[in-house]
Amino acid sequence: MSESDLIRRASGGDAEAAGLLWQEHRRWVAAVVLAHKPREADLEDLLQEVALAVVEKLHQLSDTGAFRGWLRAVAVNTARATGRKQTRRKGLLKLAQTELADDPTRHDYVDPSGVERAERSRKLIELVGELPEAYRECVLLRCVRGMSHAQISAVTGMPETTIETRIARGRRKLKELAQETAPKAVTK
Amino acid sequence: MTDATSEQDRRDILVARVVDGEATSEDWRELRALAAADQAIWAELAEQQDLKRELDVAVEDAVSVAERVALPMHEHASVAPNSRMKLALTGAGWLAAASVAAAWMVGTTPQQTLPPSPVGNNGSSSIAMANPINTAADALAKYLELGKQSGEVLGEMPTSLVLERTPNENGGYDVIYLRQIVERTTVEGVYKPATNDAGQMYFVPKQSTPPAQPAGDAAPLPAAW
Repeated sequence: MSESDLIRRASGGDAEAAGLLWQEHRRWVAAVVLAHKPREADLEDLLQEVALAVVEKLHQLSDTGAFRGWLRAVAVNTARATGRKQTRRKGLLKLAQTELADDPTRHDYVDPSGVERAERSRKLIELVGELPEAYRECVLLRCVRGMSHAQISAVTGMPETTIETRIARGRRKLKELAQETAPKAVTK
Repeated sequence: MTDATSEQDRRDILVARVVDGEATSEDWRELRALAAADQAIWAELAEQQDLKRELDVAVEDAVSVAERVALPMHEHASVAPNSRMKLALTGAGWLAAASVAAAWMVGTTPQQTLPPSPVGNNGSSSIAMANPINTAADALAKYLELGKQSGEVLGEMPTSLVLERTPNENGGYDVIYLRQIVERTTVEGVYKPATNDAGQMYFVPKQSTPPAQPAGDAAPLPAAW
């Protein structure tokens, strides 16, 4: 079944078609949410909200050719609107976590497997968050299973040449940020 | 911010094309010509290759949470009944499908037909095993029960931590609180977070010491668990 058939069936209320479409696109949707969410907001929670918004609004989609742009718009709007609410709640949770961390009876047990890699990845994603918004989304989308400039163009509606420039600039800026935050060698 | 390309942009684009494995022979020629005038471009290329490799891993890790997020089609009334049943059978599992089928048979919703679910610390009720999972409380009770059976969950702390309380229209309070559930896992080693002189966090391995032999087979749990 072609994607436009799937989109037509999904917007007509076919849950199976909608589920298949979501499975096909959810990873890049996650990258879009990651690019637009407030720093403290939780990605998985926001994706749940995006999934719910897709279900609620899918019947409004009339142009099957506009599906990717529509899905991106739902993701961006949800990331920004829900993210703001979540950030406030996260602040409260962080307070609670700080209280728990201060508890002398509490021990820190951390699984060492992948700790370093996870820490490096976390820092890198944080640095991406410091890129100008215009570069962030293009840089992240390019990393999702090697999305091509054409595929990113179909999602963002921007010309491929603009996307290529933004990725190249974004990566240079990211390298500069990484060098700025890298630990400096201590000289005696 | 302008998207008009400069000489620096052209250099960055060439590097990006090589890093992405998309450089044409013409791109390579242009890059070599640039390198003839400025050898630093090779170091730049190597750095960008490293960065790209790490970034791919980081982004793939971050977006992999999407695999856990399914479309909640059953929460939307406009879905056709046949599709709804299919989704329940394939996505939410046979328990949810059974509850949807039962609701259609009696012409009401699952919540109206089922007794209240067990909540709180007493989650190991046999009612939770016999009934489908319809609410978050049902799911929690099931999680606690299965977790205790497998040994991964020791129990829930008897107290919750209140984060926020707001007076509501009914004269009561809306409360946001933190549940505390105690789990058990096995790891190969234990690390403790520490901070170096530059204020950066790192992990220090903790030396393992053989545990003291317990008197019985296992240490007793608090009575409340």
